[in-house]
Amino acid sequence: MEETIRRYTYQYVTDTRFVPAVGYHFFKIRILPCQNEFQKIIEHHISVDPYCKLTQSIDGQGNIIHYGNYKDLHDHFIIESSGIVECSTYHPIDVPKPYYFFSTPLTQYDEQLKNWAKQFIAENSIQQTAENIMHGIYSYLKYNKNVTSNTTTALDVFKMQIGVCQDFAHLMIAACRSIGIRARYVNGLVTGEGETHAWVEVHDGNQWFGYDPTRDSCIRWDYIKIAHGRDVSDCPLNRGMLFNLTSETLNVKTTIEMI
Amino acid sequence: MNTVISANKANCLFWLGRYAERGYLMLHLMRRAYDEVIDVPVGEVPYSDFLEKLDVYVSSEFTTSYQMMAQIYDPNTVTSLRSIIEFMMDNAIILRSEIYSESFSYIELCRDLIRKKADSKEMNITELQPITDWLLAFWGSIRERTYGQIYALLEIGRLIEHSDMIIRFDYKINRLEESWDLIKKYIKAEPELFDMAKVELFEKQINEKEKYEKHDKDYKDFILTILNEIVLV
Amino acid sequence: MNELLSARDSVNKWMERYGVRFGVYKNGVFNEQLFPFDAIPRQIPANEWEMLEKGLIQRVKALNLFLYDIYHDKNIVASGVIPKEFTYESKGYMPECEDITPTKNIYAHIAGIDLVQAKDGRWLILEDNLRIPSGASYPMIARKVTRKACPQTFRDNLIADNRNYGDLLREMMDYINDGRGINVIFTPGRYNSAFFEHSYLAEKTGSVLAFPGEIIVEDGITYYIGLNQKKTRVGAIYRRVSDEYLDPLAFEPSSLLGIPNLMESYKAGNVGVINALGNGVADDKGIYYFVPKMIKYYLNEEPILQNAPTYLPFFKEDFDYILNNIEKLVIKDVAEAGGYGVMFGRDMTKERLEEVKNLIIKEPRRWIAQEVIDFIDLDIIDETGNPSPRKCDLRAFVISGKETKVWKSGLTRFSRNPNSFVVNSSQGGGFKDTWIME
Repeated sequence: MEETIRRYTYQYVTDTRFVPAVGYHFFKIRILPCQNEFQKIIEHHISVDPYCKLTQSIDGQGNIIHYGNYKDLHDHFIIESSGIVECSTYHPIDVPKPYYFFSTPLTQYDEQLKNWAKQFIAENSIQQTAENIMHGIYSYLKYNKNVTSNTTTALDVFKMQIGVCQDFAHLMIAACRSIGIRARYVNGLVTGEGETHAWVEVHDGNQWFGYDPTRDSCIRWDYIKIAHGRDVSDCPLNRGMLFNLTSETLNVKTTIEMI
Repeated sequence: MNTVISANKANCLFWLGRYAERGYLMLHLMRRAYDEVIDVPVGEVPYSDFLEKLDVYVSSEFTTSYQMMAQIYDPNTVTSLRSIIEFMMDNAIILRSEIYSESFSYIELCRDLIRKKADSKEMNITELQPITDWLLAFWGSIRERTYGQIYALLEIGRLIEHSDMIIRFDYKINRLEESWDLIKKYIKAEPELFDMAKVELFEKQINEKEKYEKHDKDYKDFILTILNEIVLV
Repeated sequence: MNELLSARDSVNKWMERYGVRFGVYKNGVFNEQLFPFDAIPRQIPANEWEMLEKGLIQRVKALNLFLYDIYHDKNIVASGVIPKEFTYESKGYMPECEDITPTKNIYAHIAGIDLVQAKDGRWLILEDNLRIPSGASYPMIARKVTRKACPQTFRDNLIADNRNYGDLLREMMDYINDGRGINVIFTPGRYNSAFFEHSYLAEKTGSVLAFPGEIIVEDGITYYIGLNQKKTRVGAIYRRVSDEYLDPLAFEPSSLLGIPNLMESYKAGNVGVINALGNGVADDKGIYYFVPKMIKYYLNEEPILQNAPTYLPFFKEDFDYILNNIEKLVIKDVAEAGGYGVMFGRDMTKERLEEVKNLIIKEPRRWIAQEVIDFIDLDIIDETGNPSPRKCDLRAFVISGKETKVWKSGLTRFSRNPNSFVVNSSQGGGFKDTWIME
């Protein structure tokens, strides 16, 4: 295995506007690239505007989170996370929790989906099976930003054949689990300019492998991982709670460059 | 003993005090109105400033003391005795652990009775006497069982409402002064519960005794407005 | 007994006066009802109670050990005693609770264990409630009132005093609190069906009754927000809000009932949450089947109290038995509580039986089946003033603090109709006091 190292600068900005302005605002965010055997943070900087204290902690899946609250009236809330990470090829080796075998409300499967998934089974190779499922989903679904939402389930996606990266990932997870393969949801950043991304990790009994069904690619480089979970609801990047009625506009921008 | 109370509970304590006092005085005044209507000549529509202030609706269908009673039970009028007792309960139910079940039970009794009497369309006001008795017992129980900020907030509520009713129903200025003197004790003890600028303004205004005695309507509306803004909960 | 019967009206008046009610939503409208109290108590002889007490403590100890195990080492799954489907796929299992050890390592601080007594005298466990079991306040206040109304009865009979429930709770809360701050009881609000109980227990434990919006978490510490934004540290929360609504930033984001980021304070070990989060994995109707096995596995003891005979369609043998005998069984949805999702085979039409069979075939993990137990009837005084038999169960309350103790009483509930087996308060029916004889 070639053991080269690549470095990336990343910048991840979440800009939320409130009309009308809001008071008490509680939040919990996942914004820091994770640190593991293939990804190291060289430097990082987090800022929030308006300023408030961020407390760091770890969630039930082992992801780093930051939480806090801001109570004075504010009409915007901007979080900026930037820094440099050093990566080797994508290969998480953490021991999987047993629950990755099982479906969740967002990744439920039925007989039909299970039968669909069966066609991709490759004898004796979980890796090959996962890759086949990924290709299958890539050609089965059409990317469309305007149809699905945060509560769209894998079965909805399977029916509508449409979705965004989150939906592609959920369907792939459901398909894997339906045939007894452990799979999990991953949130993170990819090179270039754009928004945050979601992909899938599959465990073959020894280690995890990354698959991006939205781009039909087996992941090796150029993916900066932030968090993982059974599905998106285990590891949303940004969750807030307000007591006021307001309308919220969210703008996310990410810039990742190899250096 | 609960020594910590939230802003919402402070608000409930204050309003429980106000409504309990309002209910008590309202029933007292209703008894007066009931009595007053007896003397209205047959065939005439009873009318007086006093009835109007009580929000007793006057019409040609309404000519006897018995008919007046229907208005006590009207759930859709916020100033009816029934509504006031329901509001009392809305606040008290949050406060069981602050005022204890014993004090709470008197409010519960009042609420159950007024509902029962409303359902049976009870037209004799003497049947509502237990409400007066229970409200007095409620205040006795409060005095026995609570202290500190909890007691203060209830008592402040009671006194503000008391003063409010004195002004509204044109009682003599000395009654207002007595009530105000009691409020001032709490202003000294719990200054953070009061808007000091409003306190000063009110004090200045009620020194103008002549205006008060003349029952000048604009003046009275003005001091009522200030009085209702004095407490910060 | 005559004294009790003749004091019936006066007892009920006093209960009304104290506002002993529970809320019911009917067609979207909130209504408070009196919880009908029947004056004839259930009496449990001392020797029988001694056995129940031992059995209940044993059961709750095993359940606490199971909860620790399932969120840490998972030995019981690894050793094959419980199939993994019954844990990680359970609705009550919360991955967020993995590796969290609650203060003093206690999960089910307040366990409500439902039992019935069969006609042959055996006590059988029907259900474990390890999340937010309710109902203790009713016998507590009923006793307070009946003692006053019937002094001679309580002088003539040696009955264990049950008015100490508040003290038991407080003792446990103080132990969990460990001097870190105040004790609070956290209610979802006054329109919750058990609000009377929340407020009464706050009074009887000397806790602050806290409402949504009054508790916040900052930097891992939990605070009660007092007047003028004054923050007072909270050491223990007896929460009456269910897991999924408790922390909107960890679980159900649309919930306004919860305490944002409570999970962070809990995880950091800065606040005790009573009962712990994630307990649902140990009290669903599917895992119930395995509790006797847990007792053997963790305590190396024979279970003192037995389950009602239960079948899991998940196992082939049981599956066949259920499909062949469905008309004499009772079928329960593992995810439902409060008397919902309970179906008696003998009450169903042929078509309905087929439908239920198909449901079981489709989702075997979702259902359990039990033999219908012919449990004893207790008399109540019905609307006509005459004794009439009713099915009754018993909810025993087991409090785990420094020690595990069983409250010497319990909530005896009876069904509304003479022929009904469903005794849940949300389905009508009423309650009796439970006397433990000394």
